[in-house]
Order: sequence, then structure tokens, then C-alpha cells
Amino acid sequence: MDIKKETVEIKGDRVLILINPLIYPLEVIYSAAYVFIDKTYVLLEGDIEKEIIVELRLKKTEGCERKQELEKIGREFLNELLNYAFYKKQSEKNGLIRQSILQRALAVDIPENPQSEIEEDEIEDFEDIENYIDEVIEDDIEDSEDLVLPWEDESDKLNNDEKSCAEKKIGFEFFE
Amino acid sequence: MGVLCDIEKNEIYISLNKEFYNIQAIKEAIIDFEEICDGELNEDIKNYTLILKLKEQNDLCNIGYEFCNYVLGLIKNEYLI
Repeated sequence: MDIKKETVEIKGDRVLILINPLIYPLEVIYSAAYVFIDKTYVLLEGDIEKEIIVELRLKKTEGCERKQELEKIGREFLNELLNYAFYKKQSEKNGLIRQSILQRALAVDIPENPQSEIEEDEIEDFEDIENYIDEVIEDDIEDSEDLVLPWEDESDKLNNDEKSCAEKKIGFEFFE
Repeated sequence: MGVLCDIEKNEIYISLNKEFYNIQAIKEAIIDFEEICDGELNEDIKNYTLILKLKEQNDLCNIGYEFCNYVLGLIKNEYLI
């Protein structure tokens, strides 16, 4: 282990964290940095193959114990790196199991060719709708034919017949 | 490296390492910040260089650093962990 170089360096109002990219991959560094963007300003620098430098500046500039706080933040960042590195390792280890569980969960009750079934259903639905529309149109035509008939003429005829009957009756009564 | 502020011109100069920051995230951040500043993006061999011209007088350096955090957040969201 290289003990000449400090992993956490405080320079003025910022703390520099020097990271070996062979130990912590870039995505782990991004994830750890993301945790700190609420309370610090984060900048990434360095060489992706040799050494990555993470620069953290506190957002709150007040307080007389800033140096201690910077160092604390730097150490917390290292812990967070370890946390995400462990998480990544575990998720890679369990990746296959997770994938197979997910596949099994999603494979339940799925028809072999759902696309064609849906299409057939849709076609049947369309046929039903077309038949229904035809029936409705036929009914409408029948109704409209009824309405088109001149009902007044018929009623007039009826009235005339009734009148003539009545007249006949009256005439008959008179003759009697 | 980092963030520089020109108070007289009301401009922020940001230099971001190409190895850690991707151009799509930077462009997206410029669009998202367009209500408060106009962004100009350039690049050299190693870095993306940005000039942010603020529309109003404001806390220059903090906005610059917030911009960097925002870009980092966009990049991080591309990863699963």
C-alpha cells in the first residue's frame, strides 16, 4: 500500500479525494458523488486509468471547524465508495438469479402467440359491431317507413266512416 | 480546471474533463439552465469548456458549481447503481 500519498487532502476550502480506478470503477464513483451533491459541490478530475481526483467543496461556508468538517466529508466519501462497490459486487453476483426470477414472474399466463389472438378478437368485435350497426339501420328504416305513411288520410277515412255510420243511424232513427 | 467567475462580465467559465463528463449531459444541462443563463460550449483535447453568461446579477460561482453538480446528476442517472 502506498503510504506516501494521502488519500484525502485538504486544500483551502476544498477536499481532494484521490481514488485508484482499478479498485473503484467510474460508475461507483459517480454513485458516491451523487450522494454528496446535496451538501457539497463535486468536481471530477484526473486520469481515468491512473488516478481519479474527486474535489468536494462545502456549500455552507460558515463555521470555524471547516477543516475538520472537510476531512470528515472526505472520509465519508471513502465509506460511500466502499458501500457502492460492495453493492455493485453483490448485484453482479446475484444478477443471474434476479434475471431468472424476473423472467419466471413475467412468463406466467402469457399466451404463445398473443398478437394473433388479439387480432382475432378484434376482428370478431368488428364483425359484431358491423352486424349491430346493420340491425340498427334496418330498424331505423322500418321506423321511418311507418312515419312516412300519411296517417292523417287514414284518420280522415276513419272519421268519414264513423260519420256516415252515425248519419245512417240518425236517419234510421228519424225514419222510425 | 474547475469553475472561474468574471464578476464584471457576469460570466462563468467552467472546464470539465472529457473522461468524466459526457457532452450529452452538458448540453441537456445548458438547456435546463437556459432560464438563468446562456451557455456556450467548446472543447479542447482534454476538456469541455463552457461559458455561462448570466441573464441577471447573481451568485456567480455557486451557479457554476450547481451547474457541475447538475451535470453529474444527469450522468449518474444513466447508470443503474
